[in-house]
Formats: sequence, structure tokens, C-alpha cells
Amino acid sequence: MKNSVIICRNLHKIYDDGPEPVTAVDGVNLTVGHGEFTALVGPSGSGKTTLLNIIGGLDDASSGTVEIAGEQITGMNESRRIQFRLNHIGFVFQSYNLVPVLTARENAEFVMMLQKRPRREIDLRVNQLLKEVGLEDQANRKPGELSGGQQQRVAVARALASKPKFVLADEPTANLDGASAANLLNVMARLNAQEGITFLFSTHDQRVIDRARRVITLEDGKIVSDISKV
Amino acid sequence: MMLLRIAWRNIWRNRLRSLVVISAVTVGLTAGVFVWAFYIGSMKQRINEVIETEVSHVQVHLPAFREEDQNVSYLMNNCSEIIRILKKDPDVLNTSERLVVNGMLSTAGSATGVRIYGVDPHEETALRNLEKNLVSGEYFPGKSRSPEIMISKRLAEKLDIGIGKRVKLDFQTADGELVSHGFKIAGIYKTINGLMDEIIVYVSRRELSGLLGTDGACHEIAIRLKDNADADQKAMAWNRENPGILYESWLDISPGIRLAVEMIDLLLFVIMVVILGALLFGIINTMLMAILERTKEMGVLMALGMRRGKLFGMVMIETILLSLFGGVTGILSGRLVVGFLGESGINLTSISEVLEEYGYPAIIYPQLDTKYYGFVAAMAIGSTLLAGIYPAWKATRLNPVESMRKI
Repeated sequence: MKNSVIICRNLHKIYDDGPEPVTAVDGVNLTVGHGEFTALVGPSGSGKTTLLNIIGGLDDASSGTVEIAGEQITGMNESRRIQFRLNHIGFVFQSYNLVPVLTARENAEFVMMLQKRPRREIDLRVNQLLKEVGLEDQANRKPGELSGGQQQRVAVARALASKPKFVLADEPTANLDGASAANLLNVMARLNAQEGITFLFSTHDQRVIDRARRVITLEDGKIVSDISKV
Repeated sequence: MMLLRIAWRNIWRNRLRSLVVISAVTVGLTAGVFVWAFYIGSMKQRINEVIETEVSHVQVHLPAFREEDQNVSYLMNNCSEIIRILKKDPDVLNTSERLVVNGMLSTAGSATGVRIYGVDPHEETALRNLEKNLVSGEYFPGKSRSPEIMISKRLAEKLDIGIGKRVKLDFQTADGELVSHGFKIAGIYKTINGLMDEIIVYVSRRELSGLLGTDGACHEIAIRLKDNADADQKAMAWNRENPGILYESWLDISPGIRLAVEMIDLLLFVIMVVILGALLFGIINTMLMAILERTKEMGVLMALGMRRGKLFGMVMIETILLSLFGGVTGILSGRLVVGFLGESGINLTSISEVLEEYGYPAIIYPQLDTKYYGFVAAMAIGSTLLAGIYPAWKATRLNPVESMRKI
């Protein structure tokens, strides 16, 4: 695919530190194109999070390759991989995982500060993102002072602040009520449409599956279906 | 800047724990500074006492006099000439010529061994203000037709004698002749060195010289130097210039004091190492707890792209900030305590008898030079850095994926 952002080739992940080896990802071949809004679904233990961790450069594959925007991340040394993550991948986690001592604004700024972007650029980008996620009036509140939905929107702003190639979202709506989940999905769908940011979700949530334009189903570490909606 | 901000706020996430650590560092450093100041203060008072009332800065003898336990026969016959030369030295403040003989002091009912110092009362007062130690009677008043003697309060109590009483001194001359002579107690003195007090008596040098038949000769010349002169250096220089005569500084004459002076920095270092060592483990424990509590958060930071080096730096900054509070307050409170007690003194009269055995005063005035505060600060910074390394290293060993699974 010409505009592929993620290409996984024959990806395997085997955990062999227990009494018996466990295959979490079993020969996955996957390509995600630029601007896709894709849901990775499957039952618990099907390998969704492991696959996301490997694609995000957080975990090593036992075999196979992962190529992100033309650059192979499998086999990269740790230092390069951290730098790659910082510059090219945005993360949204199930339980928000904001830094509790930082305000919403500071959390959103965090990755850009790690990138050592100029202050002016950081302010512009973070103000824009906080506005887009509807939190400009909560910018100086700390995570403990925000609702779950608001925290997850801060996490989305943080993930997008560095203008990543794509965003990996691991069960982003799992801890949210219906209204908050809908709100968050609207924000992500709008950013996907307006800024062309690629989203790859792992999810059980039917609301996410309904909004996704492509649904990949994983079972026992294997892709069993890959459906693109028109 | 961001790391500093996160580290600063992390410290106050668990206020109680942070305040406990800060208090521990404060108390530890205050105690360390106080112990140093107490030790240095008491040592300086002891040294001052050694110079002021016991030894002076430098003493001159024939080498054999010192080697053969102050044998009376080793006299310097050219004392006046030595003093004349010494007085030309700009570093010399005063001198006193002495005769020293071991003998027996006896009363009607008892007797004890003593060291008899034959001194010139005026020279001795100029040299070390012997008169200020007088607790009763008069300092060589010269009123009595009998020769006068000054004994210590301790000796007076031991022999149950007092002012105006007569005592007899027995000793041997350089020719081996036994001399026995009566003296009248004119003054009773007291210094802080009880052991020396018990054996030293003072008589007029002229009187003792007559009894020993040592006209113009002396056993000892005590030299008081000006404040900025180095006694060790002066003694060495005079020894080079005057072979055959032994010049010894107060450090040579009081080897116990020399040892204490030479060991003081090591001793103080060991004391502080023990205190800081205890604090170090407290800080390590606190930081490890903090990391354990924030394992997931640190995993997220790494997942987002924070390098291990930055994570290490963040934990180090937290440790340093935590210790910096305790360090600054500890040194300041130590300085306040030392300042206050340095003025008022610490009254140890309840154990004064024990202290007198070792020549220490009953009231100790703690004091600490500024350089020592700097040294405490440097040691505190060093141990803080040391305390931070292990927890910070532990943080960098976290695996982002595994850490994020923690609840």
C-alpha cells in the first residue's frame, strides 16, 4: 500500500517465561494506511494489547517485522526506539495514565517538552488541542480534579501534541460512561477527519466498533477477519 | 525545568513522608554539627588550658633532662643567654626560667610526692597569669620570713592543710645531697587539670636555686609566642639553630593533645559519616517507596518517550530537593544551637571531677569554624547524591509494559 503507516509482517510473540510457552501473537500480517480509523477487536487474551505494544515499540516481537512510516522498528536499539516513539507515535491508555502532579495543560505539553520544541510552538499547539478536546477552561486543573472522560480527553491531547504518525489507543473507552465515551469518540473522529491522524484502537466497546471504518478481529493471536466499512 | 517541576511536586504528594525525611535530615545534621562543635570547643578549651596554665607554647630543656625523667642534674647553665637571644625574636611574647625538681611534701601527719617548680613570680605571671588561678591566700606576697609555697586546692584537701600552715619539702640536689626545708603555704590555686594540680607546687626560683646550689642555671625555659606564631615551626627552627638544646612545642610535650589534634578531623569525619550513613538509608528507603508507588506512572513516562537518563535525573532531583530542605534547615539549626550554646556554655559541673581528671573544663563552649559548616554541607550533598543513585537506577530498570500493568 502506497500510504501505509504501519506494516506488520509475519509477527509472532511467544512468552516462554512460564511453565509452558504462550503464543500471544501468531503470524500477524497487517497493514494500516494513512488516515485510517481502525478498531482491533477480539476477546480478552486474544493478543490485542500485545500487538499494540509491539507496533508501538514498547515490546519486542519474537519474530517478524514492524515497519512504521517506512522505518523498521523491530531490531532498533532501545535508545532509537524511545526517540522513535517520542516523535512518531501517540499513546492513549485505558486508565488515562496522566501524570498526577501536572495540570491538564502540562500533561498535554509533556511530550512536546521531551521533544524540546520551542515554547511558542508548544503553547500554540496545546491551546489548539485543549480547545479541540473541549478542555480549554479546565487547562489548569490536575487529573484528580477532572472526570474520567475529561482525563481521557487530556490523554488524547497529549497523544496528538507531538503530531505523531499515528495514535495507538488501548481500550480508550473502557472506563468511561456512555456520554463520556461518545464525546471522546467524537473528538477522535473529528481529529482523524480534520488532521488526517491515523488511529488504531484495541477495544471491546461496541460504540468504538460502530464508529470505526475498519474492524480487524483477532483470536488466539491470529487475525480472523478484517472488514473495511464503505 | 520540566523535570524539576515534576520532581518538586512529587515531593509534596506524600507530605507526611517527605516531612519525616526532612525532619530526620534536619535533626541528624543539627546533632552532627553540635557534636562537632562540642568536640572542637572542648578541645580548643583544653589546648588553651595546656598553653595558658600548663606548658606554654614552647619549652627549652637539655635533651637528657627530658629523656631521664627530669633528672635534677641536667641543668642549662646559659639560661640568661638563651633568654636574651629569644627575646630578640619578634614571635616571642614572654619567657620564664624555671627550676624543676621532684621531691616529697610532708606535713605533720602525711606526705606525698610532688614536682617542685621554682619560678620567678613576676615572669610566671607575665607568661601564663598563674596568679589568676589563686583560690585563697596570696600569690607570693613576700610578707613572711619563711619561704613561701603555693599548692593546689586538691593537694590541700588531700593533706588537710591550708593557708599559713607549714609544710616540709625534701628533695635531692644535682650533687646527690638530700635537702629538707620548711615552707609556709601562702596561696592555694586551682586549675582545671586535677591530676597535674595534685602533684605540682610552686616556690620562688631564687629560694629553690639557693637550696639546690644552681646559681644562674635552670632546668626549663617556658616561651609564650605571639598569637599568630606556629609553635611547631618555631621549635623546629630553634632546634636547627641551637644544637645540644631541646626546644619542644606544646604538641611535643603533650603527646595526648597532639594525638587528639591530629585525629580530630578523622574523628569528626567518622562521626558525620555515621550520622549521614543512617540518614542515607532513610532516604534510600523513602525513595524506593516512592518509586514503588509510582511504578505505573514511570512506565507511562517511558512509554511516552522519556529516556532512562531523564528518569534517572528526575529521581535524583527529587532526592536532592528532599535532602536540600533537610540539609539547609539542619545546618541552620545546628548553627543556631552552636551559636546559643557557644555563648551560654554547657554546664557540666555535675561531672566536673571526671572532666578534671582529663584536664577539661566543667563548662564547655561549643564552637565551629565556618569551614566546618561547608564541610558538613559537602558531606550532606555527597551522601544525598549517593542515596539517590540506587533508587534512580532502580527506576531506570523498569520495563514500561510491565510497569503499566501495575495497579
